[in-house]
Amino acid sequence: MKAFLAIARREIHERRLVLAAAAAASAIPMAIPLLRGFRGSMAVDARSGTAMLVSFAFAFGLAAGLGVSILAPSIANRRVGFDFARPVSGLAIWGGRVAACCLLAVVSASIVWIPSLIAGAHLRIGDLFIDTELPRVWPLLLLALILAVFAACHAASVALRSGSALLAVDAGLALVVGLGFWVAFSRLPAFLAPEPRMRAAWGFALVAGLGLLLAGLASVARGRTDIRAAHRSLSLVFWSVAVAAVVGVTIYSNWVRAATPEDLGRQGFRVTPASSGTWVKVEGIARGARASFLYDTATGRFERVLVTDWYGPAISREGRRAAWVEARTGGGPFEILALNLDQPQARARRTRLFLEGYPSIFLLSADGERLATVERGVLSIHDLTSGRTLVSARIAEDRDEIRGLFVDKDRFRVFCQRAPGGGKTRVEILELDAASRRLRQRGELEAEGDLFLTTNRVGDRVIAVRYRDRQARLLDGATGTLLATLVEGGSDTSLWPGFLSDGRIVISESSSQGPRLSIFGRGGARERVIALPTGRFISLGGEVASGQIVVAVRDVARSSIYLVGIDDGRVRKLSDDLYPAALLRGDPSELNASPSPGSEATKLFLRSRELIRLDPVTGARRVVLGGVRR
Amino acid sequence: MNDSAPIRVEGLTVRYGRAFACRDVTFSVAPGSVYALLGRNGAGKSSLIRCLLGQQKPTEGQALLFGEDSWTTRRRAMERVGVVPEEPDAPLTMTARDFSEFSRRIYPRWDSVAVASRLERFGVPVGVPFGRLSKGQRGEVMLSLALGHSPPVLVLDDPTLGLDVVARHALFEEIVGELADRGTTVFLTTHDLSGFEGIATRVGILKEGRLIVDEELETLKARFRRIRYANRMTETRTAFGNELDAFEAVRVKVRGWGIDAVVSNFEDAAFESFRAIDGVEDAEAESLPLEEIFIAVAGEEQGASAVGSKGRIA
Repeated sequence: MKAFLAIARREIHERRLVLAAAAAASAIPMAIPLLRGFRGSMAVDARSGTAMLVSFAFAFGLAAGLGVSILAPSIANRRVGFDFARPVSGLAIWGGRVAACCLLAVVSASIVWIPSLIAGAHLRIGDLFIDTELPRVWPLLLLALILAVFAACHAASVALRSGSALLAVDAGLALVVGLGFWVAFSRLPAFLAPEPRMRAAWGFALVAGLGLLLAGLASVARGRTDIRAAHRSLSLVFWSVAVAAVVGVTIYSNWVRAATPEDLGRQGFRVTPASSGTWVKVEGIARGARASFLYDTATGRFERVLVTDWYGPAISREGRRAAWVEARTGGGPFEILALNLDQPQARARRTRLFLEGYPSIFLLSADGERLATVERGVLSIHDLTSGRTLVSARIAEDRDEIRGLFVDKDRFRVFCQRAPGGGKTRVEILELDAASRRLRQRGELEAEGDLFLTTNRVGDRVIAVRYRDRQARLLDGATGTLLATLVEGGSDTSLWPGFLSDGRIVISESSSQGPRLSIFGRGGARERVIALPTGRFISLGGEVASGQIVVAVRDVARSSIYLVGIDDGRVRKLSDDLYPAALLRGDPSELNASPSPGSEATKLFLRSRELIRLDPVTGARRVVLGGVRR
Repeated sequence: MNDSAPIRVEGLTVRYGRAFACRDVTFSVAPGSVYALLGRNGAGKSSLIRCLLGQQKPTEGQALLFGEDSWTTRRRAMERVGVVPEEPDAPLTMTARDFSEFSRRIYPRWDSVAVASRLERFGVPVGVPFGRLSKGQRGEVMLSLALGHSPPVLVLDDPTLGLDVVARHALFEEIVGELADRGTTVFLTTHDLSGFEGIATRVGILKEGRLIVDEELETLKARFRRIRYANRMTETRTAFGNELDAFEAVRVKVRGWGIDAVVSNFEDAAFESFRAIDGVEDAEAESLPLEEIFIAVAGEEQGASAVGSKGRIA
């Protein structure tokens, strides 16, 4: 330690004129506002900015200059022998100089600042950083940067002065390491893994910086007075560390990419079951990155899908095929992939279909053969098997809200909702036919205020809920003709409509008068009202069996599920703290259709960070994902 | 090999690429002795010294200071070694006073007073930056610093190089005084053979990286003689050229008056027999200064009728 301090002190003493130069440079930020004629806050800003610029230039210029000159020339001309002829370790010789450089750089930068600070300049290092987390550690960050610049310049100086053929090896290794890092880093796309990406980049930078410092130490401790030996030691240590860092980043990125659905459990996840079959889409944060999986609740088989944002995977109503969009960057183009879920050995397949931007609709036909997309107002029907686009047509402007569904395998019906003004909503009902390659308008409807549309599976009937007065009306799905007015609730009523498998209609109403279910016949005639236990929100789960529906009644902190007999009005509590994973969905444009009656989806429920299968009839339950398996 | 020797070099080889600076060099320096390593420029002296001081890793073999490998134990060894390099390598902006202060912090036993008095004796201004001192003064500063912690071993790499007569004299005096006072072991390389002839107790000569002489100075000087004689044909002597065989001539020159030879294996009895050879006339033998021995051993053979040496060199 004494030797380290003695060397540091000597180096500072030798270069003390730098401090005088810093004092002279401190006049620059003082003079700038005067020269430019600035006054008041403009003068303060100009002084602050100039002081920051000059101090940074001083600190980093000094680090670079000292890195180049403080040791490498002494090794090359063997003057460093003066230190090595004394009882001083290589660590002290290197460390003393590093410490001297840091101290000179920091003190010089401070000296540049002092007169400006006295004159009222403000230190706003945080303005330099986009990430608001960084400024908290900016002194450490700057110090690390100064060290890295110093060590890098020393390394370059030693390598160039050695004039050895090892320089060519260095260049080759730089290429390999850079390429290796980029390959590993690219496996963490910014749109999926921003945090792991940052961790990988910072980790690599930190390890590489440490590698430079260690390599500098090795060049001194092992090279001593032999510049070629110094270069050899430097290269060996630095490239070893750099390669290790690349391997580390590769392992880390592979580890992030190798996340399984089980990894989602730590931070919670979202589940969307297929309408039929045992597959679910599960998504959340796994190993720090956004992750989406297709997961078979029966076998545990899974497929990770690199979907961007919320699009995909969509699962066909029959549960036999899934499709999704995948991109190498966040902005497209997006490639469409498909997976046959009913084939145990099948892997994800690229379909040769691309989308230029985000689709606003991405839906599979019931059998999964066809895919409908709406992208930038253009509706297209694609054949997934052949990878061909069958038909496309412009149907909407960017601001229009579009919902739609496959009426049959070739026909896709669209409800194109626009706000023409005056507080009105106009919905055009369009239909694109892949067989005839024609787009035609089937009907339209108009309403005051915003509308929420719900269709049955085949789209021939529509429930339109008007938000303004909580009115629910039954319409003809093709023409928009009014068939019946179902509910006219008060302003405090919350409505949730759904179609049952036998064509009847169920609407949950939650208001100050208490929650209840209203059951309507196919034509819209009210058949029954079933009172539900007290709770603020009601969600309609799937039909466990014909005429039996799961209903979730929630308060702020708690959700209980009940089995409701549509025909007899019986309400039986199934469990506390559970919520249906599959809801009787109103929006036809949702990626996955409402659960088929009696399907696996109707038996899946969510608890905190757990997916649970509960048979509402027998009461048997098991944890499917997350939590503790039983 | 003497295990108590403070300096030992065993099978030391230094190679730069394909070129050898030292080849399989082995020797030791006894405590309290003065070992002068001689060699022409490029013979490998500096490489050997750097290895000895732990500043360079030998390609093969090892150099030991106080019985320990100097590459691995350099820091500890340097507490007991004083070094005067060939080129004074101290930082140019620092003064002798700064150096003494710096050394005080890193040596466990540093005698600032002795250093100051030595510098005063040399007449070196202690407040002048090293870069502004004369070459002689720089050498004197380096010697003062090398002796400041009273090391049992002193390593001098051509310390008189570029010094004028006065500075050389001062340096010799200081070293002699150090030897007399404390029995310091001295290992030096030099081109100033006459200067160190009176001090050195043992001599090594490096030639093209090989140690071809490693011997006590007295026995070396006893072995080497110049023999001059006239060579005549007589009735009984019809050929000549092998009369010097017993002396192992290292250099033979044919002059107008006869033969001028340097031999490396001189013996009085053999010389008497030599003088009795028919046709050998006016034979006389004279001892050689170290410089001439060095030239005979390490120098390139010159002259119109130089003959190759044969027999023992080292």
